[in-house]
Amino acid sequence: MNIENTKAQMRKGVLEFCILSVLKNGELYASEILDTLKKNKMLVVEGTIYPLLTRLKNAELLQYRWEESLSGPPRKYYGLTERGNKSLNELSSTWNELVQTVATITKNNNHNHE
Amino acid sequence: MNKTVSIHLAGTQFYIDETAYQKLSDYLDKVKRKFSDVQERQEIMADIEARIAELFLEKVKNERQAVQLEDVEEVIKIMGKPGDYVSDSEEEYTERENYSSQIPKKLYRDPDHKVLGGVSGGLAHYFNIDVVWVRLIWVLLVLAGLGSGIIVYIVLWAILPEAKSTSEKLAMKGISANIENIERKVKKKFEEVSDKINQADFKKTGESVKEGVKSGIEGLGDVIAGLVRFVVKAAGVLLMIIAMSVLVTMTVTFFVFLFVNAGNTPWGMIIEQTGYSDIPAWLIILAVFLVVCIPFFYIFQSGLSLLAGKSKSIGSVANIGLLSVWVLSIAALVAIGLREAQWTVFQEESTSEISRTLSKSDTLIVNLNQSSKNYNLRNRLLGIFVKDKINYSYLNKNVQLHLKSSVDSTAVIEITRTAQGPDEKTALRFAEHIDYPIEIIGDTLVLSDYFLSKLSAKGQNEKIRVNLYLPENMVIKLNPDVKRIYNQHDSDLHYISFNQFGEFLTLKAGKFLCEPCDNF
Repeated sequence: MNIENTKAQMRKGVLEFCILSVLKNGELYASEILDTLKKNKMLVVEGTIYPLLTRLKNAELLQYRWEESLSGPPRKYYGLTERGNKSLNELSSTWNELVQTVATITKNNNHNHE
Repeated sequence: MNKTVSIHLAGTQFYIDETAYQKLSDYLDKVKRKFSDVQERQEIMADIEARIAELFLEKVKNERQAVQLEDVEEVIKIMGKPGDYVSDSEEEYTERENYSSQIPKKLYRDPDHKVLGGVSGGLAHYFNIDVVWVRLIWVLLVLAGLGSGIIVYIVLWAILPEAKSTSEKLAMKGISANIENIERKVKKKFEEVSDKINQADFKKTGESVKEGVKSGIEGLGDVIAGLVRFVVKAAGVLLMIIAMSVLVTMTVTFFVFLFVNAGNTPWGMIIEQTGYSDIPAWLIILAVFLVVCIPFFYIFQSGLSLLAGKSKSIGSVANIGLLSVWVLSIAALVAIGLREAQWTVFQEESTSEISRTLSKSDTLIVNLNQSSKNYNLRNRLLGIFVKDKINYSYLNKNVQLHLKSSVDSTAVIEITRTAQGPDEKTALRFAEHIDYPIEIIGDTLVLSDYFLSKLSAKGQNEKIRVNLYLPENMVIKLNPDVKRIYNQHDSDLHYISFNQFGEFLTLKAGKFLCEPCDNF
């Protein structure tokens, strides 16, 4: 198995969660979401995000509104729906559990090896 | 100079270099194909185009500046390869597509890689092996005496369709003829064609006419090139066939000589004494084998190179090794030849004599024991061998009988064995190995018309001379068979005429008198 592939799969799994998290504090348009994710190295290439945004919108977790831009094409500003907020909370607690569980497992394993 | 086209991306106009445009539209097409759901696809593509427009705006300083190929490449790098857009649910879709693309292969003739009819190329695609092996199998089939291989080829040539269209060529290789695969194949050709069209735009009519004439000549050139290629490949096959038959023949002969029937057999005898000298035959055979086979190995190799179109060397170490062996073999053959010559040119003769006194009776009957009656003769071509219980011996018929007058009143038989050799010692050794069987039963002497030797094959010029010394008044009867070995030369006695054989003759004053005959 390719380790790079595994890494990418891990990131992909939590990407949805990250997008929702980024939008928690207000509406952003795609490039802004991308900037945040890329700054934190959640994304390597931008292409991945567009299908995801569309799916989240279709699942009614996100909504968007159009806004004119002075420097280019009109922008889609995305924001969380009520359902999106709920999902984000659910995912947050799942994530925290997951982090703890993984930490415990890796810690125990380290003890065993020592 | 490049053409610039104008495009709209997400409502913004861009000038874009033609090559950059090709690249971008190709990229967007590929991305689009990753999304199965039509509605979803439209929306995603719109978002992607909007993002690309943003990225372009960062690159382009003013609206008259054209987007370059490098800009597009950079954008693609940022956006990721078409495969990067695929999410989990999309992967299932692609897998399904891959699965469906593994369709059963079809047997076609491959017009793109052909020597004759493209049958081998088609078979190679079908069995997924290199075409060289298929061609080699044809050659081996024909070499193995299966000339029907040629007929099989012609039949296949006749019944297999040629893969003409792109979808047929894909089916030949077992690739499904879906849009993406065809596009991949067609794209290259299309690009070539569009290049030509673009160039044509800038060409004056006269130039394009010239171009047309030129391509006509090029077409003729292609035909000639094809013919030359065919002749070269045919020559390659021919060389391989010739070299292969020589190598196979030589190898089979070599092993038959060395290992089959060797030892205590006629073959074994020949092997031990092929030439005149005492050089073992296996050495001569090995040298001949190497001297002949090594050049033919290289002929075979060059034939293979001609056929495969690329040279396949066995490596310089192996080459130097083979060359050395070859030179060494030639040297060995020259040395063997000199030794053979020495044996034939310098001939020493040596004799070995045995004398026996015959019975004191005044009557002697001489009979002849004939080889053909006692031995199953073999191999008249290569020399005559006889089997004596377990051993094979060489049989020679160089036997002479001379009649002479005895110095006293007893009859004496003297057997002289003679052989030649490069030196006296060797000659004597050969002479002493001659086995000449005689028998004396009462008054009867049984001579033989042959002698045996375990050593010699030929060239030693071996012979047996039987001298029969007869006293005066001796009565002798030579049976008619004895005529075979009787020699009247070099005798101090009057010769015995043919009609006197089988009669009782009395030796009187150097003459044989037939008393019963005279009485009649």
